[in-house]
Amino acid sequence: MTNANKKREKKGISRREFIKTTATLGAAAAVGSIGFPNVLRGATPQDIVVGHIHPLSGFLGFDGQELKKGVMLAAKKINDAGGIKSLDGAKLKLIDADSEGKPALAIPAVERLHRAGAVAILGCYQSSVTLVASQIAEKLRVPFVVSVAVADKVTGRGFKYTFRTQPRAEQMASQTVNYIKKITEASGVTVKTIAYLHDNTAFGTSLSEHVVKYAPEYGMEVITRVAYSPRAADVSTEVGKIKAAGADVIMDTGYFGDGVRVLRMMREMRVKAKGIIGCGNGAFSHPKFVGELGSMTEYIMDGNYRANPVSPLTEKAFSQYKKTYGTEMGPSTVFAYQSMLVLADAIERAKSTDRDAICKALSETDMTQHILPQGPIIFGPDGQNKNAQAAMMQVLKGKVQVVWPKQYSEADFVFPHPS
Amino acid sequence: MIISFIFQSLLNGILVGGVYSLMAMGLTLIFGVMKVVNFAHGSLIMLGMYVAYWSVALLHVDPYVSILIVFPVLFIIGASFQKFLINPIINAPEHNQLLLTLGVSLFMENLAVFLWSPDYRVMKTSYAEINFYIGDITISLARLLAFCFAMLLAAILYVVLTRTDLGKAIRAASEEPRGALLMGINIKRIYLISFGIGAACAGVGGAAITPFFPVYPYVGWLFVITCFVVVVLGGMGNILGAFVGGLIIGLADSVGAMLLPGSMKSIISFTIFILILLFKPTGLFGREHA
Amino acid sequence: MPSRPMQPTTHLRPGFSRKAWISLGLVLVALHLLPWVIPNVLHVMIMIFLYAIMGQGWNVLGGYVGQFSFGHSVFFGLGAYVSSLLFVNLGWSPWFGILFSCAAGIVLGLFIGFLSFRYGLKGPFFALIMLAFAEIFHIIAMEWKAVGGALGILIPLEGNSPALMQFMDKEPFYFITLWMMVGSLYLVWKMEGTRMGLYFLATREDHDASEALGVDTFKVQMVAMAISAGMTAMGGTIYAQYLLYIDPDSTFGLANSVEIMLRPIIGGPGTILGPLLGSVVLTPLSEITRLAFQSYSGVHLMIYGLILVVVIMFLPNGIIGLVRNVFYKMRKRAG
Repeated sequence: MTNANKKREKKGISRREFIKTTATLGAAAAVGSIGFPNVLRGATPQDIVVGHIHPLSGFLGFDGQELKKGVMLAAKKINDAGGIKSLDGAKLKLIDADSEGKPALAIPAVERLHRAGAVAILGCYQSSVTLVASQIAEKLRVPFVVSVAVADKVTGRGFKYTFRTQPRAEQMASQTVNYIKKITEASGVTVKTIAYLHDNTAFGTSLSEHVVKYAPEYGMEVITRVAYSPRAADVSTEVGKIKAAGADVIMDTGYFGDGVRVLRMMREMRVKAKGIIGCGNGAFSHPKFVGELGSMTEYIMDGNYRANPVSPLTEKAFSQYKKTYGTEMGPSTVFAYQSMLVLADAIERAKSTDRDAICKALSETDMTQHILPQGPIIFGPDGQNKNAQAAMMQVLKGKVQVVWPKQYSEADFVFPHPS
Repeated sequence: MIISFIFQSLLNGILVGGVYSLMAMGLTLIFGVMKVVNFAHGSLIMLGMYVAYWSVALLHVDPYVSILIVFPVLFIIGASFQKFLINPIINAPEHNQLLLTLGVSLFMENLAVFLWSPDYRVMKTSYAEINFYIGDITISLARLLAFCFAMLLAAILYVVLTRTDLGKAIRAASEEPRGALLMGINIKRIYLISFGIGAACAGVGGAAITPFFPVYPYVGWLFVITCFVVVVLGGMGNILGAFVGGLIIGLADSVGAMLLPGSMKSIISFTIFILILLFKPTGLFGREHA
Repeated sequence: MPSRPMQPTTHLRPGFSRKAWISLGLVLVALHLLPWVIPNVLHVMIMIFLYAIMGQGWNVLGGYVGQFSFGHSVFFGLGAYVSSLLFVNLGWSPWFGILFSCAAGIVLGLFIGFLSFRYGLKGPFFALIMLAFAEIFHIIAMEWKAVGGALGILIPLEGNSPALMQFMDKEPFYFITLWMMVGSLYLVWKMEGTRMGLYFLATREDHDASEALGVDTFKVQMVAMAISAGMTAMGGTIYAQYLLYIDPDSTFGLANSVEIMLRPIIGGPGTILGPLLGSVVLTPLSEITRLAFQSYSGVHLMIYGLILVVVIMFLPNGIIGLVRNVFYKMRKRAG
């Protein structure tokens, strides 16, 4: 850690001096924005340019870099296997664009990629950034394949150029509730009431609203919904409200940092329930979760997107990722990876780099060779993956494992939560 | 269940309020003595947290022992800040000082992002897991210790200010700088020390909460706004006011969380803030001049 | 705030020599030709102009009257939301909506102004109360479903629809912001020459003395607040139409208040060209550092902080002050 700091410090100081002098050039510097040091000028005419927009820096920088790795790995896989065969083995060339997590930066990013000749764009992890980026892409008629973004609206605007592989909020929520029902039935335990804790961003709000809507269809009811602000210094009162509700099952939606904080608070306040189940939770099914909190994570569940653990293709992808980058492939990265493969497949079928042809090919996608826990990937007229399926994970013996649906499960679930 | 829920909320409100008190006392001291509104207070809190975090991660000291490291480090940072940046513009209009401290906070926070990345860091410590239980109410050891440290430092500060010569000099300098100068008090040194103490309070406050609060470059903003509310509430420059104000705001936030959803709970403390600014800008305890 | 008095003017309106007018004219012509000469910089230029407009709004209250607001994003956000809601819910064109945004900004400004100035808030207290209001609106925008809540408002794509202020290309926005910016410069220039303009300065320099001389400082501050709020709110509408998406964080956040207020402060508070100059320096700065430091965000903010500190310590009149000093020295040496 210290060495990395020292290295960064050194880099920072020398570059800082350089930047200070450049900064005084003011207006002339505006012209400097034309130069894109990031675009590799060595793109040979044969290369197929693909752009991607992710938060490579800023608050979600870590996640963004992971997504980039997923996209890169998929591109490498295609290129190593001979590139796009229908275009004489042309290779895929990736161009990065950093959204820094801000929707406003999506506009220049999309335009830059468009000007660089990208045949399609992937992105963006955050729903807000994705909404803006896909809108500009639609305007410019550039195919936009969502890597990760959960908001329903992304594929709910009647756009022709937007496609999404991952399950959207409504699918995730309704499927999670479905799985809860199936699991409780299989275990013979009655669950009628749910207390839902969620962050007050679009993410938490939309998922919880869907759960509220779908729960009655499965004979359950959300009796309490408590929102917290990720920026709050203290969430004990919010967790206290959940505790006071005394529901059968507690659900939680939030990003990684929140999930860690919330679970810790729940343990601290000795909140008890038959199950603690996340929905799209950024922490509960993340590989780092157990590392952060240890044994208190045992038996926590999460209904979330995931790779198909029992498919040999998944194993290959995971081990390749580990070999190339030295870390585990996280759930979000899986979708960045798969989306790139979906795009490559479409380019292959389009036999052309014309954007409209690729768009048409995307809409005709029927892909069975993939690493997701679902049937074939087929996009509906709205661009949403019709068969997208979430999975229910549970932390068992210190490992996050898929426990439902049965055909994709790695282990048997444990329900109710042993005291 | 309801009764215990209310008690629990109020209890946590007071515990976190104690930390607000300590941080705000630092801020109010700086204002009281130098009439400087220190927007960089949040960055000082943040630095205190990082120093504590790295002390534990690299030197493997106990988180509460790291406070012994945080205090002097932040004292020096605060004093240097005062000497090199604030002092030269001490006679400039207030806005300038405000803006200067804003500039410093922008710089420090983003330097932290540059050096340590914006990732949340959680201190690994056993204290985070230990809790006491009274009936249905949980008292987290970490929160309790944070509260105790805050109170201890506050008490020490109070004693120093009221009983020691240094404290008298500080108070003299804040009330009547010229008179104090005439009496032979080295104003420059007093300013240096006061800022140092103020910064150290911020840092220690931050360090005290790291066992249960994530550390990241922007964390200071969460607290600095609260600190301002507390300082205005208690009266700018009034140490006792900051102390009481911190507890009040901590409770207000808890009550707000009980009654209102999501982030609305802050609306209560902001409204108190606005009302105080309008109707009693000298605060609950303030006199006409600090 | 300048610790030295502003450049003393011997006439009410700052006199520009013929040479100065001609150069300004040439610059304006060049700007009009820009889209065809260097089309790639349009986005940066639009951002420069937009923040120059809002910075100018802040400048009227902060630079000229001396009331530093740390929460100007409240007007920006209000403007953005009002026009967007009117469009999304009632189908009203943003050309019409922008007037409402301006009006809403003025009303809010007068409300806050009434509370603050009636009770004599100045300096850090005023700065903080503006901050408090911005945060309150931020929270309300986050929690209130009717205005979009945390997800904000996505303005439906209408393709190329000038009547609804939506364009396929950038050029129209470039010219809209260019002319609004010129308009803001003109407005402030005119204002400097009026009695009200003088009252602004008087209030800033010495509140009590002005009162003693019969200046109604309350009215003066209210007028400044109204102009300031209205201008900034209009900027919000343009932003919303350009991005077609607004959310509480990007509009009401503290970061936005800082961006708005840094332009005039660094460029030169209390001057006509200050906000524009500040914007011309700061906006490209963030673009460059973003491209140069791909993996470290926030570098441009670090530099902002550094520049701010340097300006406060050594250039209290901002960059304009520096430029003036240089010209002054050059003229002295020549004549």
